[in-house]
Amino acid sequence: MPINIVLKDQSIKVNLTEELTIYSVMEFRDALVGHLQPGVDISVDLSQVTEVDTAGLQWLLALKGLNVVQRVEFCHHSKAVIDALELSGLSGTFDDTIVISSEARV
Amino acid sequence: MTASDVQKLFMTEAEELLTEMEDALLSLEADSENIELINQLFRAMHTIKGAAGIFNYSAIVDFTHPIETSIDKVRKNELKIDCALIALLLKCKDHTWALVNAAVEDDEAALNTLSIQSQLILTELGRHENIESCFPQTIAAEPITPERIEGHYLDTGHWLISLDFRADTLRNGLDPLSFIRYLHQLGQVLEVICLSHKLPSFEACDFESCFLRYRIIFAGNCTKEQIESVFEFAQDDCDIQILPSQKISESFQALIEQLNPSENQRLGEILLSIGAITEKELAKSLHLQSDNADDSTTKKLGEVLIANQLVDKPVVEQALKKQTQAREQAQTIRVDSNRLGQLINLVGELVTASAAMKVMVDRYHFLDANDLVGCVEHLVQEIRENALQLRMVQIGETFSRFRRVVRDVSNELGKQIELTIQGGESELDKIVVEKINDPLTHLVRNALDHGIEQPQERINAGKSAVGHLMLNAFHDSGHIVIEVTDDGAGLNPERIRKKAELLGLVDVNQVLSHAEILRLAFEPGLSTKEKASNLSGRGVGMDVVKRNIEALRGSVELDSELGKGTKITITLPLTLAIIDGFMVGAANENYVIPLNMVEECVELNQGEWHEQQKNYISLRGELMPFIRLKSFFNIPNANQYNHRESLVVVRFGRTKAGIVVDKLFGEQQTVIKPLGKMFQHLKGLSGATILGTGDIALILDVQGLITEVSISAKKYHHVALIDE
Repeated sequence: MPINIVLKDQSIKVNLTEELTIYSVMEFRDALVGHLQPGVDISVDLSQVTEVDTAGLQWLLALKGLNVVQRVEFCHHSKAVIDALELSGLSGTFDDTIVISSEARV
Repeated sequence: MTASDVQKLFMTEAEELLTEMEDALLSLEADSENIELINQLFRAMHTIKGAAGIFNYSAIVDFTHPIETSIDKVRKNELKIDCALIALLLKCKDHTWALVNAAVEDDEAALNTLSIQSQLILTELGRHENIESCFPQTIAAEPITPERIEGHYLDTGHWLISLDFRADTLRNGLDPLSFIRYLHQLGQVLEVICLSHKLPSFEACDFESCFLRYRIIFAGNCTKEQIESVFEFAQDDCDIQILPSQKISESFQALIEQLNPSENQRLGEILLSIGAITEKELAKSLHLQSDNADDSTTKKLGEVLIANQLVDKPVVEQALKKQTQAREQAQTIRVDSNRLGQLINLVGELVTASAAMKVMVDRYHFLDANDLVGCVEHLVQEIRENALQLRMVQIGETFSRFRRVVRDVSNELGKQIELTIQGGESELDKIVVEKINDPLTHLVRNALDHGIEQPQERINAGKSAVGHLMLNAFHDSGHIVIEVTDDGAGLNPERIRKKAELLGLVDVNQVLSHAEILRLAFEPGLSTKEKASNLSGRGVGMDVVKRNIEALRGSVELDSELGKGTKITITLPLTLAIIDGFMVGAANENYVIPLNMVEECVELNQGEWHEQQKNYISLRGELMPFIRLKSFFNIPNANQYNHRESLVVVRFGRTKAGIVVDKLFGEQQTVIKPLGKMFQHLKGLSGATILGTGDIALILDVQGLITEVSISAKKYHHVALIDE
């Protein structure tokens, strides 16, 4: 499965591998929905994401929208993620959480 | 050009300018801010002053100069335009016209009197200005320009692209991001704004549907068309708008300014040619426009374009201005009306000659020439229509003259009257327009004077204090219909009847329908108004109106309800020269019936006419009077009945009647030749025409015939009743 969810205390670590596109977003959503509870922190590692399209972008935006009830954090944005965010003029929105992963730096 | 020709030109021009000035003044009453109208006033006075100077008409120059100065003050915001000033300027306008007339006719005495009046009016004007200038001037606030509202991006030649994707976009295999990526190759994407407010919450979101919208500010050395082509694949899945920034918008306007106007360029074509819209946008807008066509308020293309934000308003306005300019240029050919008359006469001859040629070709069976004849006939018909079109003018100008009449009369009588004009774009022959002016004026004055009551009376009657008068024109089966409607007191049928009895027009015992009583109002000597005013009410008028209209082969009908209002309907033929005729034969004579009056033709069964007693025939249950042309014109041998007669059903207004003829020949272009003076009193005939064979056919006056038929049918009916 291209999504790894690790539960630890009051936090979830999500690791996405492969693409974040229309082909996978619904699957990712369903996998994550069961774990969503107020007060549970979510941390999403984006370093393995190879491709992002508009559907993926929506997934990211919607997940970020949960920030109101629980902490949502994105880290290690891959190049594909940064590209998509920049194209949509959204890099500002994710500004505080963009941490360029080692892979993207290369 | 002789001196008098030049003077005539000066007069026509002065008249036009003054009419324009009057229109502008009346419009200013409603829209006092409109600077263009004030410019018009200024232009009128200035031009007349200049022209009068050339002719040394010092009286006109002396009078118009101070007015021009006053209007200039209005232009510079030093003087406020209000009702009082408008009234004063209207007076000035009338006086100028009087001066122009007197000056051109070189009427010394009149000029002297007028000069004294000039002084009085100018003093009044001067007084008005002094009062006005006591008031402090309002300083116009600095206008808010678009540049000030829009951000700094939009005034430096950028495009704003708005992309609203539909839900299915992603499922259809399109990715909005790829479009933006492609846009990067075309030029500079300065800013992308992603609107995500439509995005549902994470748990509920169907991420395969698209919820994002984009606004992109883009700079690139490319046309709107090129930008549009980027999104070509997304056409069906996305609402795309490409808006120019202020600067581009201005450059569009500049481009339009440089265009060489050609006569009939449409708005869409103009905008397309400079690249302000793309072909797709134009097609879509036209489609939208026609989709809403059944609404009573069809939007103009410009409005559609602006409403859908395809083009900026200033650009459309500029294009419209250019279009009007081009049209005006095309319109300003002055042609002597005599020359037009000559042309139409010649076309008439051409019609006759071409008919003669057709007869020849048919007679000698020149089969090869048939096509040619058809072609010539078609061309002649087009030439005929075009030639007649030349004399067509819109009735709107005649109508708008009544704005002044209404204004003056309502002031004079202390009434509040609102004039509504509809269908001003309906066209009819200039000669008809000229001749209809007097009767129309009479009817309008009647409505203003007798029809509409004093405000207090109206309130007492439960109506609004403001009376309404409506002038309406529209086309109906080859005729123009003009309606004069008021919501005033209406006619009192009892009073009309009494008066008619007094005059001996009707018998005391005679039974008359409501419509018949109202029709009596057109009889000479009938006015029910107790008090005659200088406007109307002397009982000479309605009969003259009727006669004038009938002289134009038209008719007038009156409908009125006591307390509710009156509606007068005038029906006139569109033209007086050439018509489409329907030729029939009775005995060995040919007759022409105007085609647009023919409803249908029916074969008459032998049995039906044998009951000769009857003057009515029942056609599919509808009863209508009929005549047999042979008997009506007393053609010899009329008694030898043809066993294959036809009934031609004609309609005029709401009345139908039948004409029984021997033969039907069919359609025929007909040049109307008036009958000689000797024959003008003949009943049932309105003219004659020369056929291709050289024979003469008489043109039936259907309206006259119908009246005649109804009367004789009724008379017969009476006799029959008495016999029983």
